[in-house]
Amino acid sequence: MGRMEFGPSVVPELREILLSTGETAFYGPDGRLTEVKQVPFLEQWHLSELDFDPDLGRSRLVCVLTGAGKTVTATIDASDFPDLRDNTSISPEWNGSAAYHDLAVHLSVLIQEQILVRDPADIRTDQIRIRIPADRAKP
Amino acid sequence: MPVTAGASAWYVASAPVIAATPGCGKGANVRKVVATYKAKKHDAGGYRTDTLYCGNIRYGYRHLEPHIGQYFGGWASFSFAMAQTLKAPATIGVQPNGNYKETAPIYQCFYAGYYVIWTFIVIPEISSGAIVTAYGSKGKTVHESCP
Repeated sequence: MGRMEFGPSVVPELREILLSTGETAFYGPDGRLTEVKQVPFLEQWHLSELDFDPDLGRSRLVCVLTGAGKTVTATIDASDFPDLRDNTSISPEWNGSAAYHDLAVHLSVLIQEQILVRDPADIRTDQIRIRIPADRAKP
Repeated sequence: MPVTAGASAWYVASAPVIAATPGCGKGANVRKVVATYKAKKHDAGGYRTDTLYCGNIRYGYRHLEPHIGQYFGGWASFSFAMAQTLKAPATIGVQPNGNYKETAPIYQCFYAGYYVIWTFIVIPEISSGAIVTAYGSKGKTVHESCP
């Protein structure tokens, strides 16, 4: 049996999400709007590389992020996302984007949770495997 | 005669009444509602209602469950932080993946005279208000009594 592979659309879709900016509203403690500005999805991080692994091809996605002098390489394996890996499905109950398929949206959430919200100085490793933790409950 | 109000007279809970455990064990329906939250609207005055479903590994309680142990105080504290963040956010960002990113500072105060500033983050789907995920990010410790 061959290795599981990602569909080709995941790279351009995920890149577009990661390199996007979005309007962010800032509020004071009294709830009043103080500022509105465009904030990058990556915030304090920068995308250095996003592509399939040169050796493993479409079975692994490699995402290299840099921030405050720190470089983190995130690897994403197709075998960890067997039901979404084609990047052709849209699940309206959790994917509200008009333009992106489930895998790209889900990976953007996981990258945000596991890397982007963290201070680069607090990340102790330079390699992170992006996947659903094994302890997540199933319905 | 002086009138002293009991705590229940002036304290209005900001978080919903929640069960000690959300009841999202094996077999619970993905669309079972765990809690609803009053959420400040991004582009208008007033509030909307955001919903936390049991969900699955992609969204909802089952997705965010591992983050509860990374925060302090268990599920009750986590749900309270979600409620505060959605009701009175410091920021609401519109993301191209169809989600809001809402943040607020949460102060964890200690009697010993210091506090820890957490940034709490809630990610609801823009169109439906279904909560995709939430988590706390521990920030600096301030060696002064809570403000």
